[in-house]
Amino acid sequence: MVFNTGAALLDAIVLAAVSKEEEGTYGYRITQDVRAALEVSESTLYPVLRRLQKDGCLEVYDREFGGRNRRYYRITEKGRVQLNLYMAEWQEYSTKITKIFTGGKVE
Amino acid sequence: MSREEYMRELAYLLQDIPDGEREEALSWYEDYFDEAGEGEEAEVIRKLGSPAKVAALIKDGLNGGNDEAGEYTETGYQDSRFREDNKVPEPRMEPLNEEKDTDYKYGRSGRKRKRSRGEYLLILILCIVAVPVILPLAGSVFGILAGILGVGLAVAVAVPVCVVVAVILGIVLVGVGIVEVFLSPGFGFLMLGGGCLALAAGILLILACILVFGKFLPWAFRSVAGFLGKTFQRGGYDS
Repeated sequence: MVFNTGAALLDAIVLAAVSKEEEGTYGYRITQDVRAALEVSESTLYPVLRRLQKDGCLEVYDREFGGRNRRYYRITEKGRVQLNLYMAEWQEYSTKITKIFTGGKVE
Repeated sequence: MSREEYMRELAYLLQDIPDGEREEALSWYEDYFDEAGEGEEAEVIRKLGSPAKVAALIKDGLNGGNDEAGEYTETGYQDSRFREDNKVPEPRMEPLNEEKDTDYKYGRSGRKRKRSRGEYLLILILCIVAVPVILPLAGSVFGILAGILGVGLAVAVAVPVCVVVAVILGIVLVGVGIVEVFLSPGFGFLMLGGGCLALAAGILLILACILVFGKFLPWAFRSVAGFLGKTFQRGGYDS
């Protein structure tokens, strides 16, 4: 992709990826899911997850998996509100850009 | 670099962040290696980038992140401060959080200062190159000025002397002539005539002096001053 991704859009994509799993999901998988949508470096994800966790948009819990603890991330209510905000903003943003690309008029 | 080496270096680079944060980050990356699988270590290391980059990103995240500083591009998170071809913070440095912004500013102003130093150097070189041109030019201008001044001085001295001589001669001749007219009219009138000629010459010279000193010289000085002004101004622009 030739377009750069700002921090807000990356937050939104991470929140969306986590929200897909009711039971929560773990770091490696989030990284792979986000990278399926967006070509970001793998080392980018930990700081984003950590920040979202601190902001209260994500919560973590540990569950045993294959003889060790796996840290799961789950979206919180606050995170869901934030994600809805991001999605509404994205809807508006992408609609306007699509309109201008396809020759329509922006109100 | 093996996974153990990678994690050891990362731990080393993170020693200046709070213990809780360091443990959290290290256990996250340990998990990450575990999830990727045993055979994938080299691939994971390649994709994560250097421990220095990972550590810098973690520290930046702790600092609340700086939305303006970096962008997530197709080749990964791009931030000029953390580019791997740039100097990566030394392990034992002060906490990055406190220095980050000032470092960035220093970098910018440093670049600016360097450029103006280059300009100064250029001006200096231009001055040195211009010396062989400017020196003879200034010399010839000075020579011409001195010449004009010399001629002017000579004229200024010679003309009054001539005037004085002519006037005195005229008065004397007229005086002697008037006396001689009664003694020997022919010789007397000749002396009177000569005296009148000398007086006329003196008066004409005085008139000429008034013309020269009153009008021509001020005009000449003005022109010379104007020419000099232009010359020096142009010289100034050239250098």
